[in-house]
Amino acid sequence: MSEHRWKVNDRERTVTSEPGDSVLDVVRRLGLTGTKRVCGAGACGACTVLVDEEPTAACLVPADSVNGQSVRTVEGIADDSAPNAVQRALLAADAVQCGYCTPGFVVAATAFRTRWRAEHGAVEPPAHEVHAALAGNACRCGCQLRIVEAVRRACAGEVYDPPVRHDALAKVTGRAVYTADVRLDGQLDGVLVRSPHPHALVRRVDEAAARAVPGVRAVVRLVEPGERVRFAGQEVAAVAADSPAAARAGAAALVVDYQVLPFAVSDPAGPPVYDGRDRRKAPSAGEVPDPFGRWRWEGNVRSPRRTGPSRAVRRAFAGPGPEVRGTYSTGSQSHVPLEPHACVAHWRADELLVHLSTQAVSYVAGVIARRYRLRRDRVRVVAEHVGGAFGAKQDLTAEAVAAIELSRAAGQPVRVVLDLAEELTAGGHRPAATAEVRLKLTGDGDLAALDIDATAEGGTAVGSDVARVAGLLYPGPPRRLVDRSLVSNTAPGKPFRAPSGPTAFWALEQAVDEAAALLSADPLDLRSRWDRDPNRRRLYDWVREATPWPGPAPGGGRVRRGYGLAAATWHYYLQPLTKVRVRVRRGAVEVDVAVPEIGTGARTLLAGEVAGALGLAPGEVVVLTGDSRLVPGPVAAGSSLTASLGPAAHDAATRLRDRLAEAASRRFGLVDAVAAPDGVRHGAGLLPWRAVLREVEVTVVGRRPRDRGPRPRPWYSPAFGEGRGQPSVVQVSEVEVDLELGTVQVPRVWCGLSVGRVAHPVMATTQVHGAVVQAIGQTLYEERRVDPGTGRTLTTDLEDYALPGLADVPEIEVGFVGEGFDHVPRRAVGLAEVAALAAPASIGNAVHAATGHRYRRLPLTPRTVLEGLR
Amino acid sequence: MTRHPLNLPSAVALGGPYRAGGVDLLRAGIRTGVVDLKGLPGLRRVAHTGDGLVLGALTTLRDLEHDRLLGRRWPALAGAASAVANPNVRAVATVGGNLLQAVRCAHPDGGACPLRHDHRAVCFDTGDCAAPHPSTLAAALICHGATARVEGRGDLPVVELVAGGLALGEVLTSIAVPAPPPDERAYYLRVSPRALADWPLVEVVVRGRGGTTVEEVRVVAGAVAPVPVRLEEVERSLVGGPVTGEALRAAAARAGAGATPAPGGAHKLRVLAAAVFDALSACWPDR
Repeated sequence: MSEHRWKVNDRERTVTSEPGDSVLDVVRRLGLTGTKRVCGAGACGACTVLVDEEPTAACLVPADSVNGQSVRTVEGIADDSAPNAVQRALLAADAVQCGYCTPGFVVAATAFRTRWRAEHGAVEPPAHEVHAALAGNACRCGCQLRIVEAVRRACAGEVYDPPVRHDALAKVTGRAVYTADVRLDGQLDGVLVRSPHPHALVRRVDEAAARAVPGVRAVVRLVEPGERVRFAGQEVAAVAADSPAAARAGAAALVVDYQVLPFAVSDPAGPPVYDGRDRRKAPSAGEVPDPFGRWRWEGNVRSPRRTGPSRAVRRAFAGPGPEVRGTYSTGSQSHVPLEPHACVAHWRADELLVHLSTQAVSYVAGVIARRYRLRRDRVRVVAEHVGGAFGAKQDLTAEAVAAIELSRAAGQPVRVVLDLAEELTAGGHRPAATAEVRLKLTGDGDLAALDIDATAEGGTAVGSDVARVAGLLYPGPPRRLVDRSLVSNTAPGKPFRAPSGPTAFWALEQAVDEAAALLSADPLDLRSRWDRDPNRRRLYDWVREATPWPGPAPGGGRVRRGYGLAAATWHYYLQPLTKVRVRVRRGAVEVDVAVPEIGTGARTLLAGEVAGALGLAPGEVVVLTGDSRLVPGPVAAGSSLTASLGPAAHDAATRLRDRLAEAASRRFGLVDAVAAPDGVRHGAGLLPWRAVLREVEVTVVGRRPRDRGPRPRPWYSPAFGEGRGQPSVVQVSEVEVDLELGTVQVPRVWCGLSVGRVAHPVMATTQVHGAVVQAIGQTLYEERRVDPGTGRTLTTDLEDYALPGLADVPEIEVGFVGEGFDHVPRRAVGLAEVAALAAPASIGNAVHAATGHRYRRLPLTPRTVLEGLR
Repeated sequence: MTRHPLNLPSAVALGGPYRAGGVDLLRAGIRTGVVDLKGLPGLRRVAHTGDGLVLGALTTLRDLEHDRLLGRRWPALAGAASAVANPNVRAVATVGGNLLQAVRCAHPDGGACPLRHDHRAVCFDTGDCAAPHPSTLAAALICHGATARVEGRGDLPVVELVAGGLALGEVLTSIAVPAPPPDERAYYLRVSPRALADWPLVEVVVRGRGGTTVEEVRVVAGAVAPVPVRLEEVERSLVGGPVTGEALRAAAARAGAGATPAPGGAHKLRVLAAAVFDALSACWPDR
């Protein structure tokens, strides 16, 4: 332990550090948790602080190398009550989604603004200056365009527009508390012990040496002797101790005796990953589990019981007319939310308290109660802010099980937070997949039949819908759709934003362009001809009006420009049981539901609906979310949140006005009182809402009204259903391909969506940006790789696992075609997934237009591009 | 416990492991018993002398970026410095640390190197290890013929420092970069999949003299070999010849001479040729 004099946020302080501590460790121990730890290697910027007023990666600076210097964190960048120009600009531009990267951006951008204005005055910097200055800051939600726009505006002047989001002020100031920031009295640090082997039988776990390490308070097993581990990185045990260092030492001392077994990576006929009995244990990488499927296993491949074509398909393919064939594949994509999987558990006599970074507060509370045989009201799950999820945080996962069981064993609260290498190894990924596509055309260029046979490789997980999802497009002609799963001794895939969707449309929509080429038809005209869906037909019209399609010819030269188009569609999911409660107490309006806020704007939506009904500003409504003690809430998944929560909140607001009118009528003895937009109208005039709120107390619960027409198809649970109609997207992408360097750039895209009425156009546009940016990541840069020789994950940091940066993001024009979905209450369906689906194929088609080469494999790295052009 | 010597002899006596910025030690997981060099006088400086430039080993990459005279007289070196990692890292990373950082071996515990099939793989001097040297600064300094001053060893070319590393008790104190001729043209070019803050697929440093005829030229490529490599075939093809598009292109086509690429690195030879042509074109934009 050593002592240093630092000036922290303008205050002289004596700080202490352990050997190996970084400035990040020290400031977080001081309670300055706005500075986040993500990569621990200077690659993400979430821990940016100012050291002597220069933006610096705090994780890289050894604490004992700083003496007498100043350290400024996000908490010291501005007065809490008066956010600075950069913070206000971020709030006004809706540049904050999950918010985990935000403090780092605020610190780096504030320093940039100061320097820029000193050198250039109050003028707007060009985008490339902002890109270069903030090149060390990563955003996984895909807010890059908003951030750059906000920083440019902040440099040019002061921005006083109101914040877009209800909870973003806490995020730009670093006050927002995420699970990894929670610190309870007596809290221990837990770490997971992971298998180094991709396949092994655990023979014995000897905890004695681990327990003997000073500071170790508990050791728990997550795999019992006699059980198998099936991937390198699987959680075997966990250790809790007084400090992270002691926990790591305890984990290193734990002895696990493995009998190493032969393993399979991408090997259908290799050593079996599961034997017959264990196959049912395989987790699902699909959007929802499919407990009713009938399957057939051959080696490591699971196929449907029936895979043959129907008579109609056979007959169509036997007919005259040309056929288009192709095999398309996509790589594996890691979710890598910037807040890793994290849990703080405290097992007390009266209650199990679980702070959890989750998409599913109420659902996980139920799972925990069942698993540990506790009464439902004895389990409390809290997720105040969640730093991104994208599908990876839907269930009770190992870090939470470890924290809960360590806390029970130690009798103290325990925190378990994955580091980035763990997150990239076991945190979740989109399975790699391959689809064989055959399109049969009639002699006059109609679609006669289609055949898609797809295989997804999700490690130890099964479940894929590539063919089924692709089959949603071009309804009518007969089709054979087969989805198989290839299991490997690698970490299980998880549902990732539109599971199976990117592969489905990467394959189908490039095949459709091939068909257009064969028929010498314009790809847009061919789609309008084949596609009878009225919503998508409106989108094809939108492309004609609002985009430069088909764009100019690519021309010659080394850098070729091309335009590509693709359509895609998705399910309309909803959670029909969604409820929202509103209470008026002591003059305050409080809306509550146990929904997590993962960056989608749930709080803002709730505040807006309720405030709007009473003529209040959204900021006047108290919104309580992310706590399982509240009214049970929906999961933030399947693009179903807004479609479920919005109508329930609207229903609550409507009921609230009626109840307030009744209560006011009794309280004040009003005659003929009715609720009106501005207050309670009665025989003698108008009593404004504010006057009513001061005097009465009511509680109402709103429910999501049913869709008109048949009930939604219930699924694996009555809480989740599929409604009628399909949200759709059509995207036009412009690319530039350097034929010699093999680099692909995407300067502009146009993204048209048919998702009914858009509940909140600004936040919806932000959400579309995020979907497109993540899809561009998958298309051009991101690929999770596993070493076939050892089964280990190779891409375990943000240098090897490349996320799109500020300068890699195109201009994104978003168009909402508002018609359709008249049967849906409030007419709004979700868009977070569908918006991601047309990007890969539209870029692939654009690259084909630019180069003449059809690429069938993602990502389109320089290597892939050059090998194709050889 | 970290030790903080205040002069060079006591630093030498402590023997290491030495810490400059600390970035690479963090990566290596070396947390305890390090010898911090920050207390030593004179190790963080950018000195413009009559003979050229002296860079203290603890000078940060941000210091290099901010030195305007350096940017004007050594544009390739400044360009290289500002291409490394990202601004938040360059505030910490030092000249000495960047040159002496460990190679990013993907397989510390042996076995078949997965990098051989990776886009990062080398294409020159391919041996058991397919990882290229990670120092961008090294490529620029080797091109400039810079020398390293090492306490306990003396002066040695940067290329030897990078290839051989240091022995126990040796401390890199400074780098001397000779002054360029007044009519020198120099350029640093980085090709990476992402626009910014990415590892180079290929990087090229060119220095040259001459208006219509190439009088002198030196071309060094990074990210393609265990140590940044001089492309002597390219240089030979250029010297004495005219500065024309065809001549530059013909010379750039020689960039892969002598290459023995690992499977994953083959495509990089094409990228290298294009990058060499681009860097030469940037040096002679008026051709």
